Amino acid sequence: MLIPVILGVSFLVYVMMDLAPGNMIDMISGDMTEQEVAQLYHEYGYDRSVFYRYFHYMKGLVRGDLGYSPVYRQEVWKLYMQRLPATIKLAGASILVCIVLSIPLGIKSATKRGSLTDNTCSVLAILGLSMPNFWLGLMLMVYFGLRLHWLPSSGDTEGIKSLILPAFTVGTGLMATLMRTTRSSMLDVLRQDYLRTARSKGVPERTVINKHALRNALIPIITVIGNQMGHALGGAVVTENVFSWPGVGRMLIDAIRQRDANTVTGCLIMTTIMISVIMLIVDIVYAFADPRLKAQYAAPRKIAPKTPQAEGGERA
Amino acid sequence: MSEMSVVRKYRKRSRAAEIWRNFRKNKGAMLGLFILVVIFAIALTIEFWLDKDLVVGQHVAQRLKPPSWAHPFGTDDKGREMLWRVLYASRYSIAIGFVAVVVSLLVGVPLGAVAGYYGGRTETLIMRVADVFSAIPSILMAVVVVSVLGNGTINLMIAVGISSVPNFVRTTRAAVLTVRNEEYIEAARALGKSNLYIIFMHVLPNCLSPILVLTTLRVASAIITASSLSFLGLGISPPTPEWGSLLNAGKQFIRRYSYLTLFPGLAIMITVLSFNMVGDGLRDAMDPKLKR
Repeated sequence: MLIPVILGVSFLVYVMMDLAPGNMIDMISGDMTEQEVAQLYHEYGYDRSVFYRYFHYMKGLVRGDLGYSPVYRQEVWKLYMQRLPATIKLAGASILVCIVLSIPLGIKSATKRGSLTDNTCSVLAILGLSMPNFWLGLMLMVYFGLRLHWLPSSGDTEGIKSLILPAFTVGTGLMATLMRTTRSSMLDVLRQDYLRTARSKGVPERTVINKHALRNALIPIITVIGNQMGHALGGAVVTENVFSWPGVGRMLIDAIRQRDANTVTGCLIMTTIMISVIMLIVDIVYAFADPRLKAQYAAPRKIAPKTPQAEGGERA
Repeated sequence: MSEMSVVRKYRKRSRAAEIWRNFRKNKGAMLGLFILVVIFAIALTIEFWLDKDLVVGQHVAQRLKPPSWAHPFGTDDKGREMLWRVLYASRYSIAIGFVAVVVSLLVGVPLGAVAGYYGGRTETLIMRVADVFSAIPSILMAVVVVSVLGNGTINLMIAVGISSVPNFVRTTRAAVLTVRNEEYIEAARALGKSNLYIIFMHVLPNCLSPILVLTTLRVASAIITASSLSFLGLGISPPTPEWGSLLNAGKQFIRRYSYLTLFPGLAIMITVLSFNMVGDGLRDAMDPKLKR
């Protein structure tokens, strides 16, 4: 499945970048002579059709070459690898924030359905979904960065400290979906008979919830976390811009502005690959979360259960 | 009027009435609907009761006044009242949200319906293309489309619309799959109706509820996507106030005049929140089984 998607993504992006007015050679050819420009045009195939260039690019790609970016004067692969650590750091930290906040809250609102906590949580969830993420980022930056001077307001220069605000921004944006999924999945499980059995056998309530119930509610939760991890790895484009975070998302926006087709295509291909790796990991984690699935994998050719898409919109 | 159509009409009415009855019970959704009505009223009429000079003119004597009784939302760097600018911007933001979603409806629903109804190769082809589109993060997709089409309100609408087409394709297809094998479809086919007729007259009307819910929720996210784009400086150019571009303009004064970024953001949040609450309310009202 991965390869057709990569082919499609690269073709689509490459052609669309070509349709945009201007090209990357024009962007870098500020003080060059006409002859030099013409040579660059020839070198990067801009004197031929976009299909020729795409074909050329794909020839490189099958050898593992993501192309060269004349704008950044570097291999796209290296460029991507330079930016990836920051993106992974931000993605990991935001998912962590998200998990730590939303799973306990989701469990709480499922077990105390209709209570004040439950209602507060659902209000919080819908607020989180409705807030423009970058605006929350701006506001956090103003109060904690510029007013109180507790945390650096932009860049990635002070280690953990500069990670807190962006991670919190992205994490709270992801929270709503995970919290809702945790809640509804827990609600499904809480109705089951085996929980009543466990309780009647005298198992403490805490163990009933955290072990018997949560364990069985994990599958949708893991699916959502996987989806969000995938999205986050694509680069939290706008948040990275707000906090001047040196990640993939911000570079992509710059590259699109510079009409740097090679960089945009290369990075998006890498993102697609990363997302499918995450999905693979999610599939493997399923087996750990639910031994019944492991048994299914062992059986000859049974299709892995498709978990329904999580509710709520995807976030930018 | 024959007896048959009387029955049908009666049925149809009662279904809508039932949804409305359920919907009304949901306090959050009703609040959201009320706020939306107010916002719509403002957005549709503001042109007629507000002097446009207050919004785009220059009043340097009044520049950068913090919020006070005289200037409830403060004034910006050109002395314009932020209150008026934020209210005026609702026109653009809401129009963009709506038109964008209409674009994705027009493209996504027929494709999804065709994929679900015909199945086979057509379906595979459409769904694979949808996969490709959704493999690209929607904000990047929108950025690419804007750079292809150039800046401007209409182009922004198209860009945001295109980026949520895959959602509509998927939802429509899934809904069509559930009704495709119903008996009334078979009956229509036996009567010799064309496929197109069946899709539009029999299949889609029975898939309305998930599509309607998705539409409401996507308007909400379209408003956010559009404002993110203009926040990045793509899409709408400066003199036109749009919530995202107001935020972008306020960003350079964020150190000392943070109120410039506070209010447009709040406006986005309240609008989007109302759409989300109405969407959730609709979903619960249309399908009580889904109620969380």
